Amino acid sequence: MLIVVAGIGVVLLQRKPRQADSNYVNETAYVETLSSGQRLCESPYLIPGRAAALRLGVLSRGVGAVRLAVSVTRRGRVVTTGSTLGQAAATQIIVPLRPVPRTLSLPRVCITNTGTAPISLAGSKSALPTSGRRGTVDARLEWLRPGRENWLNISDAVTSRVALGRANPFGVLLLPILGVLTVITFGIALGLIGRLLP
Amino acid sequence: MPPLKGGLAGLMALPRAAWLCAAIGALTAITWGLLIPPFQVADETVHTSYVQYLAEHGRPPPGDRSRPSLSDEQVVTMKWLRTAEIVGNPRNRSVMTDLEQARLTIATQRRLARGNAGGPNEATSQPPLYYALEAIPYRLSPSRRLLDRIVVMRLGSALFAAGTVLFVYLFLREVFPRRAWAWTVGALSVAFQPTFGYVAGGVTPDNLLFCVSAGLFFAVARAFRRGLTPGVGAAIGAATSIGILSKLTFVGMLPGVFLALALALSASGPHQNMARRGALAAAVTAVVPLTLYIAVNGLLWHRAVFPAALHSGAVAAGDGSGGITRGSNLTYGLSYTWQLYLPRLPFMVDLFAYFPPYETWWKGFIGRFGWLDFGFPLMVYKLALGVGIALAGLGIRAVARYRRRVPGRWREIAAYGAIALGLMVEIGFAGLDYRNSTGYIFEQARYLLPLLPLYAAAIVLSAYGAGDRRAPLVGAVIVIGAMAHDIFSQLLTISRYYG
Repeated sequence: MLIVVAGIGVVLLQRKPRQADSNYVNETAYVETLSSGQRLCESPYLIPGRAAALRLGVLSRGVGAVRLAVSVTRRGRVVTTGSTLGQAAATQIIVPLRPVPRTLSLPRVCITNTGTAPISLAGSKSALPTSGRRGTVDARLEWLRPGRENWLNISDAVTSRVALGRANPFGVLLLPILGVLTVITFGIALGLIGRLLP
Repeated sequence: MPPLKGGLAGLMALPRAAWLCAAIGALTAITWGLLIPPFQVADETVHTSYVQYLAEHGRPPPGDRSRPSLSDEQVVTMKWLRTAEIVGNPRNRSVMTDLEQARLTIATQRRLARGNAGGPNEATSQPPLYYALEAIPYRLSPSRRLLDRIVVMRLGSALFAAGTVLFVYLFLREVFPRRAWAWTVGALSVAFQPTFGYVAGGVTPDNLLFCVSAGLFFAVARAFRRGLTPGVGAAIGAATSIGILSKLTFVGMLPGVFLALALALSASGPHQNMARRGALAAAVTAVVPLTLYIAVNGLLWHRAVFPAALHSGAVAAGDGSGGITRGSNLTYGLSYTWQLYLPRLPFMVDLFAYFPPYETWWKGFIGRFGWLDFGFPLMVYKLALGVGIALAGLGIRAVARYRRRVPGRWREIAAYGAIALGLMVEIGFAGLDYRNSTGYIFEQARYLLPLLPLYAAAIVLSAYGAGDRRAPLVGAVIVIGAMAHDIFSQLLTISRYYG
């Protein structure tokens, strides 16, 4: 049992960038190629609170570092901005942003290629009714929380997310209740197998 | 051996451990059911639609091509849950923000049509028993909103999980009558099996299929250990008819059921007359409900008695065509089926671009969840394979130690083997048919979960392999391993949908 508990501890303490939300667009193809200085703007349904970076699927069409600038506006006001300093070519790129304090609906997100080589953005060509645009291509926008976090750091967010998207009379207590249910289940099981031992 | 009691008295006489194991099965399923987002158990979309149609109209969906496959209420609910975008795309999480939740709430509070589905989908051609049973919690739900009803239906599914674990316990009690520890170890190994738990948390007829299959194994074991009495025969027949009326996959187990009855008859010795009455009871309890169903299905509901293909399976997200060669005839089907479970023989054409015993069955059994769109890191499957090989080694050692007892029970073993083989062959041929017609992979580990009682027996044999004195201890360690497997699978699920 100690090994199991230690294993759970190791899993819970793993640090990595954690998602705040996305625009639910799948990366099925490279849907838009931006030449140097060219810009793509999208109007996703929301930008989540605590978003502090934007992860994009990219393909560099030339040599040199990938440079992108991102600006998010809402009703003409700038919500946040950010840019890459010049990341080596990769299939994914993370653009750091000034953290967004709270969830905002219907922002306008513009991505500008500030490098020299053309860059293709990954996304989907099928229009999604909730993406705010119809009949056009959509790049996948994956919003990340600040820094690298372990599970304990994001426990509040996970607790509130588990409570959403379902019928749930317990609200944010659902995950703790599931924890208690698991402890009870394991307790009964341990009691049963304890009796097996001589 | 415990005395034979039937009916309610028999149930009341069961050891407390049996009920506790069943309760653990239910609690595990409830936990899974509350954890998994709606429609994120494979095919839950179409099964929910079937229940809704049946509950709203009092009859199974007609499969009418002029009607939509899902009701307006379900379409809107799925749209705002982002079901289509989440399935098959592990980077898309469930609802993440209060803003999305508010949109979902507003959208699902509108009055939307509930009974306008009935068009064809993967579930339409399946028999209605599971759906009819789930229509009860659907109707009893205090709220009419589909999201609320799904929770209540999932709680209904948890009862079948409890039944499965209880029947596994009872099966082991018949097969290993002198070792009470074995009953608990085997039943708990099933209760904490995460692929079983994940499916048990959803709205899917697999749950009734697993339960009734475990009941069938129990009844067959009872027939060999205590004789084919009319009561046991009726139980075998009832399990057969309930199995077929829950999911057509059960048809694959029929040859094994026939063989089991024939072998139990031949083993009845001086009790031939009683055994004949038992076989007759099996025939009556199997045939009468099925005949009624066929009549009602054809005459009243105007549905095909059997669909064109028995599988009516799902296209699991994440599975592609898999690069297999297409073809169809008996030899080809046998070759396909062989390669599905065993290493290819030198004279066989290579039909798979991967190794199904490992990729499909092993990985699936250790854990590929959702619409098969997420699982453990590769290292976990390899580590688990090492554990599996060690347990298999212990099991072989146990069989070698107790080999003198095997000939005396050959009929019973042959019956279990035939039931398992029938199911496996059916999955093979259905899978080949499905791939030929759609190009997609059909086989999923959950299709073998009707054989959970045999899995539990194998676990017990592994514990036996450690020797009589150490067996309970090894059994306890195996159960703790299963519990760890279960909790890590739940953490994986949390990271997939909410992380």
